[in-house]
Amino acid sequence: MEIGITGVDPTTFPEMAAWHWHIALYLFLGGLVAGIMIISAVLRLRRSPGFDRGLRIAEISAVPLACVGLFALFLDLGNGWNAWRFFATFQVTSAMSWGSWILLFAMIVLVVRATIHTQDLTFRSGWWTRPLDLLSRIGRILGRKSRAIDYSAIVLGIALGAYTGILLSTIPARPLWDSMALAPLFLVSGLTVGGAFICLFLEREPHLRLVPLIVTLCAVELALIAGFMATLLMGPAPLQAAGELLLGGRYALGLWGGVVVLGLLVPVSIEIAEVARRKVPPLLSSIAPYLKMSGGLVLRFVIVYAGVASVL
Amino acid sequence: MARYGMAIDVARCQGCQACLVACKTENEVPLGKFRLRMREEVVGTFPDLYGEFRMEQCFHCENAPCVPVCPTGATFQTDDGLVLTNPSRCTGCKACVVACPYDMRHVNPGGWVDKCTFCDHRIAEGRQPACVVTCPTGSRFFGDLDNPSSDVSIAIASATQVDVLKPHTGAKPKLFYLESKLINQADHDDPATVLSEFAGGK
Amino acid sequence: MNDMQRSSVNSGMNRRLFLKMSAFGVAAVALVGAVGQKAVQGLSRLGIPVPWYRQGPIETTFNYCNICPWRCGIIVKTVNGKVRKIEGNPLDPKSRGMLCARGQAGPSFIYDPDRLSQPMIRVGERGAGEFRSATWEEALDVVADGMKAIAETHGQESIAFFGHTSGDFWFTDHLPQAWGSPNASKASSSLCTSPREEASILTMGTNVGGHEPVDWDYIECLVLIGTHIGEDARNTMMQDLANAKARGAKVIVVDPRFSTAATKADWWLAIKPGTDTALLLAWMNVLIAEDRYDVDFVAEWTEGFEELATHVAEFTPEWAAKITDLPADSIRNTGRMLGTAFPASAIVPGRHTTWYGNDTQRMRAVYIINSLLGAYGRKGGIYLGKKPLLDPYPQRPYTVQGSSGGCAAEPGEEESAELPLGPTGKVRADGVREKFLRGPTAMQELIEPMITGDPYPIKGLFLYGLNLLHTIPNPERTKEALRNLDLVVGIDVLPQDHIAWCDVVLPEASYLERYDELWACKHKTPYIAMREPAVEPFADTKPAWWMARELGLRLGLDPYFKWETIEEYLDRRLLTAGSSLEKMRAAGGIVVQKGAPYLEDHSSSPFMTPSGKIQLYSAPLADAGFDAIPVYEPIAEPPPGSFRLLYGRHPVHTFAMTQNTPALSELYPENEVWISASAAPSLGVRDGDRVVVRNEAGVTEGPVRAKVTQRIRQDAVYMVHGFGHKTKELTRAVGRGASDAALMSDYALDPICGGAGMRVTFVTIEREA
Repeated sequence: MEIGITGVDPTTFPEMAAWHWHIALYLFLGGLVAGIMIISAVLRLRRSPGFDRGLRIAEISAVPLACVGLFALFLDLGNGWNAWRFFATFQVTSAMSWGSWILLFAMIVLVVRATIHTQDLTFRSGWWTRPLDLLSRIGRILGRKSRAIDYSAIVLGIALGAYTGILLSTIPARPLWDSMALAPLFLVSGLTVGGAFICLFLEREPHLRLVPLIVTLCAVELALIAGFMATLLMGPAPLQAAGELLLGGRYALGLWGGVVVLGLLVPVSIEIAEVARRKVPPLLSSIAPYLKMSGGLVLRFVIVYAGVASVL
Repeated sequence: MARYGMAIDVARCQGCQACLVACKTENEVPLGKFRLRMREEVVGTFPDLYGEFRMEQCFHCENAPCVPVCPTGATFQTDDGLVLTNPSRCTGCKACVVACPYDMRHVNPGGWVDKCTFCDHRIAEGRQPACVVTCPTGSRFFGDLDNPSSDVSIAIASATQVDVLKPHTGAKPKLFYLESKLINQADHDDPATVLSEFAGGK
Repeated sequence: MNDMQRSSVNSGMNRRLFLKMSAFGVAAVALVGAVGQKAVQGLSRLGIPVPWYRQGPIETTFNYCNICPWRCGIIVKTVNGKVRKIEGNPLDPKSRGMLCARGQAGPSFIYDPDRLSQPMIRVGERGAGEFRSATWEEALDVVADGMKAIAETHGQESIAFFGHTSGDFWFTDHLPQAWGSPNASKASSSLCTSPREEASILTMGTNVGGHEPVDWDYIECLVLIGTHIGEDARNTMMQDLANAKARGAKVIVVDPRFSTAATKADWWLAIKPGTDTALLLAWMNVLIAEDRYDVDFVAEWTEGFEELATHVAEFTPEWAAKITDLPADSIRNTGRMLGTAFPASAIVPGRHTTWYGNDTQRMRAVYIINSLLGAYGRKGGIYLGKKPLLDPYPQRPYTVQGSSGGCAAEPGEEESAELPLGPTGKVRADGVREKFLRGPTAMQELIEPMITGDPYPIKGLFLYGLNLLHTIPNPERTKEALRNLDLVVGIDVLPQDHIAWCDVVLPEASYLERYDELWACKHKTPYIAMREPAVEPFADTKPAWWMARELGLRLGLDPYFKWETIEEYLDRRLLTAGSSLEKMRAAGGIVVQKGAPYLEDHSSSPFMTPSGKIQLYSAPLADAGFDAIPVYEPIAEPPPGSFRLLYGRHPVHTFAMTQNTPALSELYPENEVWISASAAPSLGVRDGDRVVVRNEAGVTEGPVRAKVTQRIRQDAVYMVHGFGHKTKELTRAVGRGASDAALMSDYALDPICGGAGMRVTFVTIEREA
């Protein structure tokens, strides 16, 4: 068949496809922040010792990380000046509308938690620490409700992490996203990368204590990827075609090489080896969290780009 | 209350693209952006060939997948079944662009998402859409699908073959193709078969 | 202000105080205005665009479209002095309220930022494109002085006038005939329709006219031979074909390429290029041998049937099959199909018929078949078109009788008549009667006299709306001719390729910015359409009538420009049709008259041959040494490895005129070379590759994109005409695609009508290095 097209058609102009790196990055950072929120809140509620420093840094970093994600989202908007419109309405059928409000509340909790934990920071005093003193004072007041805030962080973290997947899976026109596994996959992947992020700032001992949890999360994530692929490949023709994009198509290397092998299997192996007291070169053990985080990033890119390219 | 729809008779259409330009001037669609597009398909081997032109635009689906995903309510469906976008409410988040199974939406350089409106401003004045009026081959029929004496209802009723694109989406498009021998007959949308194409802009 | 001043004085206000206050007031207003403007800009940025139809009152003007020569009646919608939308005029017999892509793109065409904006005088070498701007006074003086100088040395005949597009009356008819040059020519004759017009005059005694008189409403079987309806997007033809097909009419398309029309055909005959006459002779054979012709019509209205029957007896479908590369059965079956439906059955005359240099004879064969089918003046056949009643403006007879032709022209001088003489006793320089028998002035034959001075030198050239270097084959020869001239004047809307070669450039107001000569269309229902300005002329541009008049007054041609304004001229002409501009506006821009389409509408023979009968056998041709009945003459075939270069149209472009129009350029920005999918592999060419096209003289065009397709025979390649613009002034069109005209280093002169056969070029294809 010979086809000629006049006008713009994403079949012939894949670059016309609507969502690009902004959304992928935003989904990644959203998941990361959600993971940090959940894991840190759980650890704080369990009052496990040795995590304080790592959690504090992660909780404070979560605010700028979320801001970067929001900025990427803002850049993606065709009409950024109308961004306030997200909060002038609530559209019950629109995942993005839900997401906007979840993000708003999550941001509040993030800022509150960051404020609480600035009080633990110690600075050389000077004129420039005055505002931080004020912040610490506010944090001390808020800290009295820290348990309630931690519980709400867990709830909002789960909502946020799942939302990053639900946003995609509620768009039936893109068969690659048409999977119930996407929301739990993105949530668990968020926990994996959130955990990896926290581990960056942990001593060796508490890090190793977390490994069983991390390995479990990675195993669940692998299972969810398998489940996700299964729902595609066993679905109707468009879903199968979408699955093939990931199985052997343009995006296969990213998913299997970038996410599964480099992002999950390799770092988990490193961590298991460490727990098993094998000799692990320090370089390897230090890059494991980074590998997991880049795996999470690649996962979002693969799913966004392959999804936009999949046709019902 | 009407249920507006359109029918395009591909046996009549000669691919002259008058509709594309009429739409462009009527609705001030910027260069490089299109509310309408044309697909030309030829099957067979020389000299046993068959060819068709297919004009595509927003199908104003009854179950429009673009409407529920809009986070601000900018995209909505009127009581007359038109699917419209209100530029002043649109943030340009492109959820609707991604949600359209037919890729009929684009982002206007002004930032809002744009697409065919069936010329709602002309309908309001009792006129037909610009693409319908200008069509030299009379391929386009427009009107109220609920009114059996409307142009579109008569055209559909008297056609021997009626198709919508991708019926499996469940979107229930309200633009019908008449007398096509290719639609839903082959794997049209396989990009590997695309041989030549032109688009606007640079 | 005055009122305010008075009242302030009356109230005893101190004058100085008042002035201070008003100064403050002005400043405040300016400030508020500036802030307001920002606010408005800000608001529109926030996404509340006001559509054009709500920006102000919509003004409506009437016009006939100029983006192709078909001249559809249009209604132009203007808001705040800007043309926003064009729609077909529902009363117009051509547009019937509809319009093609090009007509719709009128606003984009006239607001092309590359338009010529002011008169210019050349300062560099010809072709270098270096100009200085000039006033109209100066530019027109230079032109008039140049014309007078040429007239003094060589005679008025030594200025040629070439034109095209629907405004060409002023510079290819009126001014040259008043001035006294018989060397005025329109591209639409010898480079397009001459064969079909001259064949028609030789056969029926009447021309075809600007609107092919096919009785589409009732036709039951029709043939398109190389007629590309749908690609040659003439609005009415597309309407008619679609409606005829929907009614169930059978369509036979003869074309080496699977054209748009072929996609609509019941039968597509993928004929070998150049063999159409063999097919036509075989169809005659089938019609006569199987008694499928209109015996009564032939007996009553034709002459020479016996000779014809004898002549075609041997041209069986089997004979033609070998020549045409078509199955004999297909030829026989399509011939029978034609012969079943008569008289509602005909071969459509087509327009661009200058193909192989033997085209008048092929067109005669077409008309002979139509006569056998009894189609002429019959319902569903070929109706008898009629010119509307409309007199010319009363004035002194022209200095020289015109023969510029044009697709809408009436028959020129009769075969026996003497050629009109110019003021210094010279006939036209195109070699008519010697190089070819008859027909309007052959544009391409006037290039040679510019170079050789034979039979006499042509020293001046006017180019009105004619894309010189894309229209006449062999642009290099044309450039050589241009270098020899004393005066080259270009009148155009856009800086087309040839503008760089002009001494004086006169920028024209576009068709939506001017009044113009009336369009009087020979038609089933004869009608007159008007053109009036919708908006003021762009920049310092002027209408052609104004330029012609200003020149005429400078040349002492006052008797031909007695009218002061164009409205006066138009009203005077319309008076003879019982109308006026005012009445036409009130009536919707069109005057429609009653026609006489069928034989029964005529009391005497409508065929203007001496005997009043259709000449199946042409004695005048026999007398002049040509075949009295068409025969098939083989033409040269492409050498191995070469392809015949075919060309055609794209529905969103007209000739080489619209490639720079933004709204059309974006739909089809560059042409492609169609190469047969079975020939491409041996060339190593894949679809989408960039290829260079080379002709036998070594001229190359491209690189241009290859379209490897099933849709063309393997002995030919095809490209859309009008691309490959070379001038940087056309910012969108420059360098895009390839020019077919540049690849035609030669053409085949039709010895009967003077047409330039342009499908005789052989090319090779190479992948871009």
